[in-house]
Formats: sequence, structure tokens, C-alpha cells
Amino acid sequence: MDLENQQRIKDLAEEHGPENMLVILGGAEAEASGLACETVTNGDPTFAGPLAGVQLGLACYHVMEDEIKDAIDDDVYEEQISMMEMVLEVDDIVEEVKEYREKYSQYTL
Amino acid sequence: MMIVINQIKKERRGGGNMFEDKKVAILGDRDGVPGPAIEEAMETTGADVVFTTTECFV
Repeated sequence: MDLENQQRIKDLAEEHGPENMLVILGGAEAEASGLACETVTNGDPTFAGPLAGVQLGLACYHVMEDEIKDAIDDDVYEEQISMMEMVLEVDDIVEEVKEYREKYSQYTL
Repeated sequence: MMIVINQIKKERRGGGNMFEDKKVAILGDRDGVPGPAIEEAMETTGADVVFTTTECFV
């Protein structure tokens, strides 16, 4: 995950409180999405960025997970997201993000 | 029809909105779902979007 964005997430968690934060991913690929989820929950696994060793434990979901998808207006989801849903390996992405969330997230929706 | 479906979804969630008090940070992907598309979608949940970006995840 981009080092600059790691800093932004860290600052936002401090500003709003990690319990009030929700991170939504739009990753195209399972491994990268899982890595992003790991970074905002358990810290930067590459130990290169501001979140190295920082366990924010944020609630983190991919936008195509049911918990998020079901809450979004159907028309808008159809218009903005569903096209990519058809071409991405959604099951793999969801499984990977869910694994890291269940392992490291301290907060839920 | 869509309005009815959305109403049913809302009722299933207990009429409340679990996103209402959330501050949302969006990490979109250039090759996946871009940040602004997610932002537009998340705004329909009542969540407060505080940060949106589109990364190249790879």
C-alpha cells in the first residue's frame, strides 16, 4: 500500500478514532486486496511505511462483499460497481480480505 | 421496483443505519473499482466519506 496513503489512514484513525473508521477496498486482485486489509488492521507487513508495527485493527471490507453491497443503493451499485464484478475473481478477493479481517480487525460494522 | 427492493433491504437492516456514524476511507484500484465509483456508492449508505484515493495495487 502506498506510503502516503498509509499516513493518511493513520492520521484519520487518530482524528476520528479507529472504532469509527471503515476502510473500503476496490482492489482488482485477491492478494493485493488482502495485503491492503492486513496493512490497515495489523500494520504494514513490508515494514516500509508509517503503518509498520501499527495495529490499527480497522474494520475493512472489499466493496463487493455482501455486508457492503447489500447496503448500497441497487441502482448506484449497478451503475458504478457491477461491471467490474463481472470481470474480477470476486470469491477469491472476498475470501482473502475476510481472512485478514477476521484475524486482525478489532472493530466491526 | 428498485425503490421497493431498497426499502426491503433497509428494513432487513432493522431500519437503522449501521453506516451512519462511520467515517469511510476508500482505497480504490485503477485496475479494479476506482475510488470515485466506490465513493458514489458508499454515499448512498449514509456513511461519511472522509478520504478517497485510487491506487495502483500491484
